[in-house]
Amino acid sequence: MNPLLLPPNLLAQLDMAVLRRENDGRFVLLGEAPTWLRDIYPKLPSNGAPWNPEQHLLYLGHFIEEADTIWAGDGSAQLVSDIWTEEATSGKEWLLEATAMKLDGQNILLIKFPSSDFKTLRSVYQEARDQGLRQYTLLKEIDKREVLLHCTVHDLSAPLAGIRASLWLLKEDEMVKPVGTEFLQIGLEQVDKMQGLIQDTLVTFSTRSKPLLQTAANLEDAPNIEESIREVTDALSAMASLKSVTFRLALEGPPDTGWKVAGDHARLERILFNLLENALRHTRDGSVIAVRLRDEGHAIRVSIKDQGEGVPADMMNKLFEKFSQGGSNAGKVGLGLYFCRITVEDWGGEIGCLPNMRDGACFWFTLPKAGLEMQSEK
Amino acid sequence: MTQKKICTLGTSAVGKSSLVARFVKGIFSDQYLTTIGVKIDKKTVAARGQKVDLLIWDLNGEDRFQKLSMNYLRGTAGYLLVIDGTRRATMDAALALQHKAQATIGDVPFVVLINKADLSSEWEVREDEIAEMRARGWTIQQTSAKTGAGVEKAFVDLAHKLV
Repeated sequence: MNPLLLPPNLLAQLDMAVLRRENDGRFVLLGEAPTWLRDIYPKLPSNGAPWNPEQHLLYLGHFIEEADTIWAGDGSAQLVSDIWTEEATSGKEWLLEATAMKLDGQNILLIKFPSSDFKTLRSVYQEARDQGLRQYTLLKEIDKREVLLHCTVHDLSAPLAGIRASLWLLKEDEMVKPVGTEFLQIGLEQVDKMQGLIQDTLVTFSTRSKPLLQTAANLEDAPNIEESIREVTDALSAMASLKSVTFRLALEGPPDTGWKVAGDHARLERILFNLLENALRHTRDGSVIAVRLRDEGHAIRVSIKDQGEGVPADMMNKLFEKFSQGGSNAGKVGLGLYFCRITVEDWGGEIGCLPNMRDGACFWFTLPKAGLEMQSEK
Repeated sequence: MTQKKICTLGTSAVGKSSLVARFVKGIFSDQYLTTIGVKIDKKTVAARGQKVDLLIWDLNGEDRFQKLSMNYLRGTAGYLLVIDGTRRATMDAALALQHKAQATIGDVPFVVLINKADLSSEWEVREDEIAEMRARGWTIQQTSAKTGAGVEKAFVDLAHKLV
């Protein structure tokens, strides 16, 4: 006889499972089983035989421990569980909620779908979190573009320094006729103004990101790193001559090494310019900056060693971070090495600075060989 | 067979449910579906020469919208602390959760998962921060629920700590 005097399929039609707890701790299903329960546990006893639902609906094991206090009570209280998810044998997931109560002296466990309020709440959580993720992605994108702009502006400062050095040499060595001296002075002043403008622009920026990068589409367009080094050292020669510094390039590898690497010409030259200009700034007057290219099979390794004071130990971990700079780098905002790192890494390479160098700093980076990188992409 | 209850802890959208789905079913979905409440999965692994039945409680992420009930941790033998490597703030949230978990259930074993390793170029969690966690004696595992990299190992590492 149905103790609740209800049609046996009523609760099942309402997608509710009502279970009565027996004295031995097992449960008996009252009425028929709802579809979801059969879906989760197809072997459910159909004859009202006692069973242990917590062995199949695992969360119930946790809830029943708490429900015991309700069933041991006077029947005035109910306990509602948190929402949990059960996966059916079909793969379908059912969201469920249990209520423990005492009814006419019987210990009852009611399991049903969460209320419609829950569905609303869930969609609010989902939307709020989706929006949070979208906002975060958007901010990162803005950040990226901003730093690309920073790097571009920063990049203008290096060739400008080269122009200034060249003009200064013309002036110092009196290589311009008297009639041209005035124009030379105007040129120098304009360069100074532009450098000030660049510095002012850079110091207004303060966020982190990375540039939007492209690599050469085919092997022929891939940059030759040996040629790039020679072009960059040529561009820096005027500055180098001011300090009587010599660039010395050494190549280590089989004769057929092509020195073509992943990346694009413009950005590779900017990486080299940043590292070489950095070395030039820190090396002693009259010293040698050793640039070494080594064929490592799948990659080309570049090392640039100066003869300056080296990198302070407390700077080593921060060198390649944005806006990281030593105390003697007045006029620099610390984007150069940051740009080098994010670009090299995006091209599949690595970059670093050798620690514990006593006679100068040695920066290095590796880039995949162009052909090999393209083969692996295919 | 030994049965052990383990939980996933972390803020929202770090990939806790995806890691469990990858580990238990070997599947991954790009669609983010927020977890409400708890979902329990089961998988048997081998650790130290014995079979361990892991009861994996995948819990909702704690964030400004939803708090995590520490009640779920009752009877937990160990947990996975999940960080999204592409969002630095999720590390802070994970560290705060680890404090709460420790205050609730004491010194139970755990493994830190730095997830979304497939997006390593977008990572915001720095190497020195990872090294700092390692220096505390924590087990750190980089994972990708998307590719499956490191996922099995993370769960098995935790199982090893439990037996």
